[in-house]
Amino acid sequence: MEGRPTVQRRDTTNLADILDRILDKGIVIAGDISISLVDIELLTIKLRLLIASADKAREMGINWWESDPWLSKGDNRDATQDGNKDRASLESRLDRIEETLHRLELPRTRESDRAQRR
Amino acid sequence: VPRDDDGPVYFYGIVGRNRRPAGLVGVDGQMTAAIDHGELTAVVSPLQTPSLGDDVATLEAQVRAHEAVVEHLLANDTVLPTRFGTVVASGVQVRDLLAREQVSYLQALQRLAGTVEWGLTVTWDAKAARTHVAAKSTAVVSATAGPGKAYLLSQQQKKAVSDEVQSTRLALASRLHDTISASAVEAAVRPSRDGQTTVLLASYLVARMAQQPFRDGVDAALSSIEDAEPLGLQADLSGPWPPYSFVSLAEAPA
Repeated sequence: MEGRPTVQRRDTTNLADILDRILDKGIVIAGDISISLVDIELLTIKLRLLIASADKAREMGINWWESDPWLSKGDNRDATQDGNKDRASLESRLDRIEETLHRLELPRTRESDRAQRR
Repeated sequence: VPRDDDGPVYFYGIVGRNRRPAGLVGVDGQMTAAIDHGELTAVVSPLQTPSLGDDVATLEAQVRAHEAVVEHLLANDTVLPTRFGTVVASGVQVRDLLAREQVSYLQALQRLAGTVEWGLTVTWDAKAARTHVAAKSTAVVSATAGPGKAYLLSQQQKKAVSDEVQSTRLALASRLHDTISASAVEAAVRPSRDGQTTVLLASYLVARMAQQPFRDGVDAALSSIEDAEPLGLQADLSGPWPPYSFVSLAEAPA
């Protein structure tokens, strides 16, 4: 055993920590659809993509979707079309990213995760 | 003065009117503006397109811009932060919102005055914890049992140890939380995400003047447990944050 426990201090510029707070907390303007213009469902999907890409994947050097011709083409095409198609594309992309991350994460320990962050 | 035709705005949060903030650089590089009503000031910035996150890099920049503005507000005074992605159709509607919710927003500003949020994640070494629990466990395999029975007994023992690990984890969480929340104004415990390594996931509302004692208290609480039981405890503290975890429930309009 390593003796005394460590209390690490992380600052508030850590993207994962920011996301951990600002996505499901804070004041919500609920019950008044007329003043909320954001498609929350779509935004949530995009944010999950951000979490997957920025916090873990990029750290591990995973950026296959950036060069995947099908994905990048899909992005451009969907941006000009209706929201449903955009969403479907994002969802399938997200599923694959999260699946990949999950596979890659299995052999990793928390300690090595920490060491890499420092 | 906001007009009806002033277009959609990104809404960062609410501060007291006497603390009217100077312009800050916000989402998409737009300068923030203040919208006043009574004793309240909403901080917003114009938004060219009401959709957020055209791509991941843009979304990250927008997320960081949101946080930067709210933290600037926090540096000077109490702030009620909005959830990321709060976009309102016009400045006039923001002012209407302030008018409608003014009582609860003022109460929240008062309640949160002089405080900040700290986030805490306590983990343990799941393997060390299991070993420790197993060593103390009263569920023992009989040495004289035949192979079939021994197998069943060992399965039972495994299950018993797992149950004990879980109850130890929960007991540890409540013990830590009780100690730590004693030096906080309010606390919000969140469900553990993995149920394995995470012992405690919580946010604490701490008086600005008491942040160092709070952090020392976290340290002491962990050390006192680890000294008695080698569980490989680790803690991540993050802060000071705007009080995101302490506005969502109280201020959600009915």
